[in-house]
Order: sequence, then structure tokens, then C-alpha cells
Amino acid sequence: MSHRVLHPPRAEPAPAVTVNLHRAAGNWAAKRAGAQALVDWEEWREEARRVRADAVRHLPELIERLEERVRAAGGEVHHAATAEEATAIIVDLCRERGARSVAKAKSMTAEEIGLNEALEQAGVEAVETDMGEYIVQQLGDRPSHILAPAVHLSAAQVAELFSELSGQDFDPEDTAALVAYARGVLRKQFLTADVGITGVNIAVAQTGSLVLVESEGNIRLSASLPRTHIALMGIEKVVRDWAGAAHLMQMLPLASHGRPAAASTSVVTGPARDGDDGPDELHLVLLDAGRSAVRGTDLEEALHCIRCGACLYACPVYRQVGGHAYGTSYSGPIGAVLTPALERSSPETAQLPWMSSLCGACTEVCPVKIPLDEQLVTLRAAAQARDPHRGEAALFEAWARLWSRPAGYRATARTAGKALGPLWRKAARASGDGWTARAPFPFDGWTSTRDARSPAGEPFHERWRKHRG
Amino acid sequence: MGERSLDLVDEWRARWEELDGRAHRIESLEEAQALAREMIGTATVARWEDARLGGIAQAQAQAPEAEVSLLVADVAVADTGQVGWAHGAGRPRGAGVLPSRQVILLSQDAVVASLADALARLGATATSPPSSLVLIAGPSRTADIEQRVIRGVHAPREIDVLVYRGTG
Repeated sequence: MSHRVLHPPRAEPAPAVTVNLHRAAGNWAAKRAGAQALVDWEEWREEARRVRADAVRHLPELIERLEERVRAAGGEVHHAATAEEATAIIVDLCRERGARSVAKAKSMTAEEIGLNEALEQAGVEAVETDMGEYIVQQLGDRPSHILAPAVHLSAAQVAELFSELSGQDFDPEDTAALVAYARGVLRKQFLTADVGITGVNIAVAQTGSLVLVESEGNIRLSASLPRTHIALMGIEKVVRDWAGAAHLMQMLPLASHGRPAAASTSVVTGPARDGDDGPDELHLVLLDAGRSAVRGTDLEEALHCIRCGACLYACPVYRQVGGHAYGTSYSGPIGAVLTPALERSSPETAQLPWMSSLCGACTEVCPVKIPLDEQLVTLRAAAQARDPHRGEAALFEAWARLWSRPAGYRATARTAGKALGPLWRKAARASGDGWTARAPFPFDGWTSTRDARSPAGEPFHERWRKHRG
Repeated sequence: MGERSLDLVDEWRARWEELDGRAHRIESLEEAQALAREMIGTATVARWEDARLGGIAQAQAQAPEAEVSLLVADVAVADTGQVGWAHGAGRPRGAGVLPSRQVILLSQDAVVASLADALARLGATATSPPSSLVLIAGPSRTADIEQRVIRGVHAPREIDVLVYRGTG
């Protein structure tokens, strides 16, 4: 076993995150290839790019139109300039309605603004109703993939959790029983919740309609059964008209699941009327939180993202480390671009653009043709300009000079193996597999977030020379 | 999407079945009603108010308790395999989503080529669209636990679409 990260427990087999992610990415790649044969993929990508580019370029005008149409259909519209404003609006809406219980359908935007924490602080019980999100929430964990929030967990962990929650015994192999248990618990939640909160995949300015795309049916229930429906969207999710929306409604499931359609697509236009049994109220919360400021910059195309999750599965770095390693709501290549783009000066996110090998796989799979690899380079350059790390740069330059000459390389490699090796190997011996979780000073900074191999006692080039005689 | 065959119903059906839905082609509305009656048997049913659905169910129940959801779809999409409908008076949302089995009647004339055609037919593109439209593509599903696909999470697990000849 190798390639471990983030200090997994020593005695455990390969962590679920890597195993699951590789399986998930494999499934995705196979289905995607089949589905894309259904259409002229390159032409479709170009059309999707055109639809999203039009939307972002004309954002203020389209948001105005959307707002007008939503109000005309009887819905209310709220503007939130920041994440804090958005959570305050939603918490107030819940409070004003005396809501004790909320059915929450998976929304990355809600994750972005920290909605669950805000509701909890306000004493409102918000239960995640997506299967993966429910598991993650009950564990006190965070989602690790845009579409598959619990992809980092094993069935055994889920069975243990559900056994604990219910007092029954669950067999990790009996996935159907696990799902049936959660269905039962969540069914009560749908039937009793005062408020349903969902995200929005596409908002159609033409008619003020909100398109909600899903596999499980929990979004449809959250938007149908509670008396109040609150929909939260980043302003960039708007599109001009139904022609564009229809194209994206097909592109999204093709890119994310390799299927021509999602299991369930709901189109909500205002609250219930004309004898419909749906919610009495619809509130649309429009979140800016840095989006307007990205327009007109060289990162504008990141706003074209439709959150399909394809670049995550395609990314060799994401597949290895999983979403949590990014430490942000949006992970993978799009997260590494979008997060620093939305929070331009945050030192915590400045490192994200380096979580990439710049192989360009993300750009190749993106259904709306965001040049993610170019944007990663742009962000690296910007971060470097802000904080040049002169000491580090000088060190690397000296290293490069040393290792450009065979003599320099041999001398240092031998020294590392002889002088440093014993110390290092002592640390690695404790783990028994040649990996160490804590390298000796001054290299311990490197192992604070990853494991490392100890240097070989005899450098490769020496062994090679002996081997060749 | 791809080559256009002569029969939209066949095209829709192929996609729908790939998505784990079940479909049955029937010569007339009466025969479709008879087949629905046979499929449902004594199971409890939540259904829409629609003359075409009369006399099918032996036992009715409120949507949260019902075993079967019975409704008439407005449209099906050959390109994507979707089946769609609008909610409204006598067409409650709960009855279409809560029971774990679903039986849907669909006129073959309601099958259209593209999603754009379907959205127009459902009224999405009208000045004032219906408050709620749904398009489904097979049973609800999750792969959230170790990528194992389980059908039937919060919405129906088994769906039979009875496609009958005529507009009736």
C-alpha cells in the first residue's frame, strides 16, 4: 500500500476515500463514454458554453428579468450580497414562520454559506434529506464531492452509524436495508417539516422558473410537501431562456452521470396556485458572495460552471486525496479555481491552485469548456505576485543548480541516504511499511499533512551502476 | 440525439427501459385500464382526479400511506427517455411521488421527439407556466453508499408506463 494522505490510522486497510473514489471515477468514465456517443459531444459542449457565457455576460439584466418573473408568479425574491446575509435571510424566514423543522435538499450553495450551522445556532433543526448528505450530517462530517457527498465513506461505516442511530443491527453488505432505513426516517421529516430548502440548478429568466435536478426524489419532496419552499441560488445559475435551459438540462446528467436524463427534474414557477397542493410560499434567495466581482476578470469563465462534478472525477489529484483535503466547500479543479476567485485575497485558499498536476484532464471533460488548467496557472501567478516566497525561490534555484550537474546530484543523494536515512528509517520502522507520518526536523513540515517514504540507503544511480557492472 | 427512427414511442421506450423503467404498449385505453387494474390488484392507491383513471383502483388511500401512485402523464421524450406531467387541481404532487410503486397511463400521441418539445407541451415556455412540472427518467436511485446503485429512495422504486393508442 502506498499513496496515503492525511494520516490514516496505521492498522487500517486502504482508506475508503481512495478505494471509493477510484471506483466512482471508473464507473463515471465508463458511463460517460457511452452517453456521449449519443450526441455530437463537441458541438454540444460549444452550445453549452455559449448558453453559459451569454448568461454571465448579461447577468445583471437577466437577474432583473428573473426577479420580475418570479414575483409575477407569486414568489418572493431576496438579495444576499454575502454568505452572512444569505444565512440571516433564511434564518429569519424560518423564525418568522415559527419553523421548528426543515427538510433540506442537497445544495452546494448552502454548504458554501454554512447554512446548517446557522440554522442550528438559531435552534432550527435542519435535516439533510439526500442519502449521502444525511449520512455525512449524522456523522458530523462534511460532504466530499459535489454529487456524491459520502463517497469517502465505506458501507461498514454507514452500517455502524445506522446501527448506532436505530439500535438495530445493519449488515454493511445489505445496501438496500441501509437505504430503506434512511428512507423511513426521512419520510417522517418530509411529512412534518415546516420549511423545505433546496438549491437551484438552472433559473430561467424568461419565465421565472427554477429547475431542480436530482436522482433520489428528496429535492422534489422538499419543494412539494412543506408549506414554505426556500430556494437558494448563486446569481450565476440564471440562463436567458428555455432553449438554453433545455440544452443544459441534458448536458448536466450527461456530464455528471453519463445518462441522457436525471431520474427526476422538477420545474418550479412560483408557489402553488390553481388548486396545486404544493407550498403556499416560494422564496428565492439570490446569493452574490463574490460572484459579481469575478465578472470581467480573467477568471469569469469559472462562473459558467454547472456543478456537474466531472472535473473532480477526472482529476488525478482529487481521485487520490478526496474532497476533504481541499478544506473548502467546492473541491477538485473547479474548487481550486472558484474558491480563490470568489475570495480573492484569502490566504487560506491561496494554496488551492497548487493542488493540481496541470495535466488538463479537467478542461477536457468540462461540459461548458471552462479552461480550468489555464485558470489554475493564472491563479498561481497571481498568488506568487502577491507573496513571492523569496527564500523558498532562492532555495529551489540553488537546488536546481546543484542537481543540474551529475556530481552535485550524486553527492547530495548519497548524503541524504547516509546521513538522514537512519533517522528517517527509524521513524518509518514504527509503521512497518516504509512510510512515515512524521519526518525528522527540518522536514517535519512536509509530513504535517501527508506521509512520506524514507530516502533509500543506497541511491538508485549507485545501484544502477553496480547492476550494469 | 442520434439517428431518428420512424417510431418515437419505440425510441422513448428504449431509453426509458435503459433507465430501469418498465413500459407496455397497449392497443386501447380500455385495455390499458384493464392491465392497470390487474397490476394493482388490491394494493392501496393514491390517484389523480381524471376520468381515465376511474374504476381502476379497488382501494384508495392518502398519498403518504398508499402503496401505488396512479396518474396520467402529459408527455414523454424520445431523446431522453423522460416522462413528464404538470401538477395542479386534482393532480396533487404528493400522489405522484410518495408511494413506492407507480403506474402511469400515457397516450402514444403524447410522445415527442425532444426535451424542448416536451417543455413547450407542458407549458413551461408559456407566459405563465404551471407552478410545478416534473420530468422523471426511471425510478429514483442512489449510489451514495459505495457506488452501489439502489432503486427507490424517496420517490417510486418501480414504475410501469402503459402506453395506449389514441389521444383519449
